[in-house]
Amino acid sequence: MSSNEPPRPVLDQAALALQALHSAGRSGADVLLRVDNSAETAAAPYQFDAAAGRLHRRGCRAIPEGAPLYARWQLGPDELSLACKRCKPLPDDTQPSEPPDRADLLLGIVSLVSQFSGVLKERGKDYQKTDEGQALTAQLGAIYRGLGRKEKDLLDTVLHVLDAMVERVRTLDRALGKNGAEGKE
Amino acid sequence: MVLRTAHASRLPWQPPAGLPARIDALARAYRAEVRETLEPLVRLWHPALAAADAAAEYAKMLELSTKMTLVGHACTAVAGERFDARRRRMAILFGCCCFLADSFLDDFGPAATRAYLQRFSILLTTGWFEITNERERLFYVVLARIFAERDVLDPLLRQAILRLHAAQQRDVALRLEPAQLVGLAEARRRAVLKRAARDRSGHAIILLTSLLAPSLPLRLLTLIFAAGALIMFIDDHGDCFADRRDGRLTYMNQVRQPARVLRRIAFGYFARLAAGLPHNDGRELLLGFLLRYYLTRLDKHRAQRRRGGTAWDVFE
Repeated sequence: MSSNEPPRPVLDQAALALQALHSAGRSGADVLLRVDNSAETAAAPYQFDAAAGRLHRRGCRAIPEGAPLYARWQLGPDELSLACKRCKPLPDDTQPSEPPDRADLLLGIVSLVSQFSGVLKERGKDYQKTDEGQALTAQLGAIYRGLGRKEKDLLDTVLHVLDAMVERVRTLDRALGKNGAEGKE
Repeated sequence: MVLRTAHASRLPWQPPAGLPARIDALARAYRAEVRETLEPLVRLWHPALAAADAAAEYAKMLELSTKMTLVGHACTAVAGERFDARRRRMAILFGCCCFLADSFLDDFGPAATRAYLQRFSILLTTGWFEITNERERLFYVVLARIFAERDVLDPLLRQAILRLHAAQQRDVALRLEPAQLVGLAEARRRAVLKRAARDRSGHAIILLTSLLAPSLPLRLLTLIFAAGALIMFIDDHGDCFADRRDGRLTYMNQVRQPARVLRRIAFGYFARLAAGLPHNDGRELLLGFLLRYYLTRLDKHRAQRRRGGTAWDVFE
C-alpha cells in the first residue's frame, strides 16, 4: 500500500528558500502566486449554491443568504436539471470562458526566473554541451523553423524579455543563493 | 451497543454485508501508510511534534489524516477515479495540513490565531508565507508538496481554498468575538452556528475532492458538500462537552437535545446521499464511512458525558 516514493527534501528546501528570500527582502517580486481569484469569481455569469445544489445566474434574488457559492463560467446541458426556476440560467455561447488563470502561472514563472536567473542561464550553457542537450537543441531548431511568422515573433519577444530580465537580475544580485538563505530558522 | 445498533438500523441506508469489515481493514492499512508518509516529514521539519511529550497530539494528527484518507478514497471513487498511490499521498498530506491549520486556529491563543489567518490571507493573494517557527515550517512544506501535485490554479480548487479560508475566518470570529451572537434571537443564533459548521467542513471536503478528482460535476459537488457538512455535525456532537468546557460555541452544543437533533440531521443527509450518489464503490464507501463515524461519535458523546474528556481524546 506504500507509495514507495523517496522523501524530497530538496524540493522542500527550495520551497522554504523561496520564502526565506522574500522574508529577507531579496525576492524582487511582489507576487509569487495568486490563488485568490475573488475578482474573477465575482464577475462569473453563474453561481452554484453547493448546499442547495442549485445553479443561478449571477445576482439572482433566489440565492439564499449566506449560501456557499461556487462561480461557474460555463453551463453544460447536463447541468440544466440543477437550474434555478426563478432566474432560469441557460447555456450561452457568448458567455466568457474561464478566466485567464494562466496569467497568474506566468507571473509565478517570471518571478521564479527572476529569482534564479543567473543559475538558469549557466545551466543552459552547460546542458547544451551534453549529448542530450545537443539532441534537444537540434529538435528545438527544427520546431522553430516550422513555426509561422507570428509564432516566431511571439517566441522571439518572450525570449528577449526573459533574456533582458536575466541580465538585469544578474547585475542586481550576484550573491543569489549565498549568505545563509537556505530556509532554516 | 444495542441502542446504537437499533438506532442505525432505522437509517434510510444500510451497509451491505462485509462493508464495515472492509472499512475497518482500509482504516488499518491507511493508518500504517499515514504513519509511514508523515513520520519522516515530521522528524525532518518539526521533530518536537514526534517527541514523547507530544504523543497525544501526534496520535490525533495521524488519526485525522487516516480519516481524510478514507474520505478521500470514497470521494475519488464517487467521482469514478482510482485511488492510486499519488492520490493517497495527497489525501494524507491534506489531513496533516488540516490538522496543523486547525492547531494554529485553536491551540496557541487569540493573537496567534489572528496572526495565522492574516498570514494565510497574504499567502493566498501573493504566494508569500512568513514562517516563524518549526510547526509553520512543516505546514508550509506539506502545503508546497500538495500544490506541487496538482494544478492549484484550477478554478474550482482555488475557490474551495478561498471558501474554506473564509469559513475558518468566520468560525474564529464567532469564537473570539461572541458578542456578535449575543444580540441575536436564539433561532437566528443557531442558524448562524449551523451554517458555520456546514460551510467549514463542506468546503474542506470539496477542496480535498478537487485535489483528488478534478472536473467534479456539479451534481456530485453538492452531494459531497453535504457529506462534509454531516461530518462536521457528527464531529461537533462528539466534541460537545469538550467544546462547552473550552467556551467554544457550536450548533450541536447549543441545541437542547443534541442526540435527537443529530439523528434528524443524519436521517436527512443519509436519505439525500443514498438517493443521489451514483451507484458505485464510492457511494458504499462514503456512506459506510459516515455511518461508522456517526456511531463512533455517538459513543464519544456518551463517554464524555459520563467520564469527561478533552478535544484531545483520540477516537477512531
